[in-house]
Amino acid sequence: MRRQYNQLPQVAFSILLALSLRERHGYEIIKQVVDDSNGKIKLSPGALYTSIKQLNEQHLVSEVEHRDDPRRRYYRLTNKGKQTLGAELEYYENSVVLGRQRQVLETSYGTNA
Amino acid sequence: MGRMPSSIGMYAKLVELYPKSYRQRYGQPMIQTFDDMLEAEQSKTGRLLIWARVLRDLPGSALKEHLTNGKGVAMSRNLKIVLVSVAAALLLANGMSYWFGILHARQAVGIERVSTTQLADAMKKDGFYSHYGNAALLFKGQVVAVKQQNNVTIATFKTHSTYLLECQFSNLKLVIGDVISVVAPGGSANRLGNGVLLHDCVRG
Repeated sequence: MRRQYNQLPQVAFSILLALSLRERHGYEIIKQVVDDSNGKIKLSPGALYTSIKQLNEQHLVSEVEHRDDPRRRYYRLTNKGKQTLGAELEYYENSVVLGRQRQVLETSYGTNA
Repeated sequence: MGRMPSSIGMYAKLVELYPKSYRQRYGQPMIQTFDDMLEAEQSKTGRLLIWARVLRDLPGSALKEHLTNGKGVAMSRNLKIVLVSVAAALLLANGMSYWFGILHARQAVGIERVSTTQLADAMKKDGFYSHYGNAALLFKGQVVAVKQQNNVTIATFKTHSTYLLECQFSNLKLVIGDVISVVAPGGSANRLGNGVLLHDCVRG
């Protein structure tokens, strides 16, 4: 099946990216999203779980139970979630290449050390 | 650092604005996440900023859940409460974000007054400014370039260094030539190829 891209809202994309390393509970997702976005995206629990609900309904993430931490609900990427994230990243990678070719992406914003 | 148990109780009450089916599944994780956020935040003003973020986002997400799940008369009362809350909370949260943002910067571990050139040179030399991350920075500078996208402004400040010094502001209009005092909260810089971008800056 052909992978489709650029269909995810920014928050949903950020959550999938945060879960790409390992499964995480809500607060860990929020922290990882802050780190991944250099502090630009700071989610509240309301925004986080509204997106998680949608991602869950789309079968992009699933809940995982942790016996050693029963108070918290953990989430992980599904295979479909990994594919969707990969397709999104391919789209953005291609966009960055085009942006540089067309000199839209300025040097100072494209060379994070 | 301890936190007020009443915060959790108040948040639990706000979670009741969500539809019942949503609460049954996500209510407890939301409260647990909010508890984790408060527990990790060391300062009182930092916790107030968390509250501001919650109050800004909660009415919209609660309303969205009501509209996507919504049917029947039973939820109409909650929906009215949510609608009224939207306007009140947005006003309150926007004000809190702005004022507590400034307060947070001023009450950080320390606040250090530096010049734009000192800052640029120190960052060039050290990779990052040596005290950045422990102290908020206060400097005065002239805006030499501005980029505006939605409500985010990125201003470049004049220095005598070759190193670029840029600051990101929310809800602040600037034009080239403006001379302003800037407070940059500690620990939020993005290293650039030939400069640094300071996030979450506010006018001092």
